Amino acid sequence: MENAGSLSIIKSGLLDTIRDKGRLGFRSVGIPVNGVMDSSAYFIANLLVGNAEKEACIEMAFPPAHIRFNNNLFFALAGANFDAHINNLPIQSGKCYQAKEGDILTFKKQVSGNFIYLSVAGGFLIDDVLASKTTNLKSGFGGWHGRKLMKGDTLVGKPSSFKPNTKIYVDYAHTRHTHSFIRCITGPEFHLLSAQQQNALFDFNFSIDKQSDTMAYRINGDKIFQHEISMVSSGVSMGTIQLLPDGNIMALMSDHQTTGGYPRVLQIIQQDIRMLAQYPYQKTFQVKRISLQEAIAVEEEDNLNRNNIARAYLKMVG
Amino acid sequence: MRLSQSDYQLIPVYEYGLLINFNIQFSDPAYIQQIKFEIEKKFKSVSIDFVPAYHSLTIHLLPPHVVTTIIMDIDSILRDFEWNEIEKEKALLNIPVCFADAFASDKKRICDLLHKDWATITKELTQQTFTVYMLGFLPGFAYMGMLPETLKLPRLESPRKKVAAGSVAIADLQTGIYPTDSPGGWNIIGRTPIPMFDLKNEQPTLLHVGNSVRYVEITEDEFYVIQNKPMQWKTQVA
Repeated sequence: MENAGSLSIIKSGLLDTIRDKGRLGFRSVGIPVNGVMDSSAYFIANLLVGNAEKEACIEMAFPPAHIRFNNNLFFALAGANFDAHINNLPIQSGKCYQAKEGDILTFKKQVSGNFIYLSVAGGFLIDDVLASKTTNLKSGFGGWHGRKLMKGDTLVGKPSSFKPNTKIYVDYAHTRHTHSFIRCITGPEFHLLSAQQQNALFDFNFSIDKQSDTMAYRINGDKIFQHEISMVSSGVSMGTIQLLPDGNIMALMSDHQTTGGYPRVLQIIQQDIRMLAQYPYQKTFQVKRISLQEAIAVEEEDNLNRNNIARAYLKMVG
Repeated sequence: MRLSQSDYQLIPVYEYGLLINFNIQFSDPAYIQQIKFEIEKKFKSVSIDFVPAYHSLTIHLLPPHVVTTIIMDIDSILRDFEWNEIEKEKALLNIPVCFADAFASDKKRICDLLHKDWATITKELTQQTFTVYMLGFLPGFAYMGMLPETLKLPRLESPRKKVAAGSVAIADLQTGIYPTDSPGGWNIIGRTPIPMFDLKNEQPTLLHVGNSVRYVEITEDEFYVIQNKPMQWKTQVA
């Protein structure tokens, strides 16, 4: 048994939870996916320590917890830049590090992004609930006792014989926002908007409201969309943009419900959901309409890129 | 009964999602369930979730299988689809509900808006047999209908911050039971001691789409007895 160790939370963070690809296969009985906010960063975090793609990581918002490594342990960070330090030395996202017993991981400031992923080689020893280790905070199950991590929690790693290469840096541009627009396809209720409102969606400047959380990002526009559109509840997904009765819009994020009763006017493409998840609050962006075919082309290229990155990394590690 | 092309629309909702919107008002969710089973059977290996709702079915695919790869096949399944006769005699679930003041947070509002006394209202409610049309909002939250027009009420103007688990609620022509403590905007009429969502069970939710449900009135004393031993309550009646 190599590299099996543990880490402890020595100071609670704002919102640190165990997350994996999500609880899949239960949406028909109202059980949400509760996956990660930024699936690219999550993918990189697991890759760097040689984990399977669906291994659980810790997803952290700012300010994250302070973490003590109780044993020597390979770990990696990916996603937001929170100016991470091991003891008093700065460390980088996108690289694998070996923590020594007693090392303290802290995060000094929110430089960019909103969510960072911490992976450990082998993953965490946590029971599956309904085939997933991810946390459902709202109903209080899965992950670490169904709650966010708090001071005093000790997470044990699973044994791993992976020998990471701590010199390789893996960059994945999509884990950082690179443009000031999000690409969307139209949603099922888009056609119920007036022509003027449809155009406004692509003309307005938007920004993420401070009242946002992992269930939904509330989005402020130049004006509200007055409407009297009603619909019966129906399935929704991450990145669905709904029009609320008060005329505001919101984008559903990782902890969204399985169904919704608000008009689905737009749907963000997968790549830009991740970008929006990491997008700075109050910085403006625009919505750009693209076709389903274009959205699929972007996604397929993304999948290809990920596979290439994974192959190249594993080859270098040997 | 067969579907015609104008009875449904196929809408790709995202790279990995397809929405089937039905233009027909189904009298029974069993119609959508039959379609769901048929599609599930054929696409199990490339899909993750099938989410039925009142007039729709959403299919979530397993990446990297994108929506454009299944849309033609789904269309041909629907075009050739023929329903089996819907069973009239379905298993009925009896849910015990206590309408005591302690559990009926909106008693006064409900009586005022409906201009009726409490006994009349609860009697009307317990005489109905409901159908589970969909689950959503929370794990195990079943949208049931339909209430008689005489019990139709609007939602609260602003949702409550916390509704207790087990609370039985009504809104518009629907009724539902909150499986866990949560915010909620429906009118609270009573509470059940039976858990709606329990991870210890192989099926974590008590209710499923297509179930028939009745509310059975219990006293406050009975409420606590059943709460202590929920397994002794016979929910299912043949």
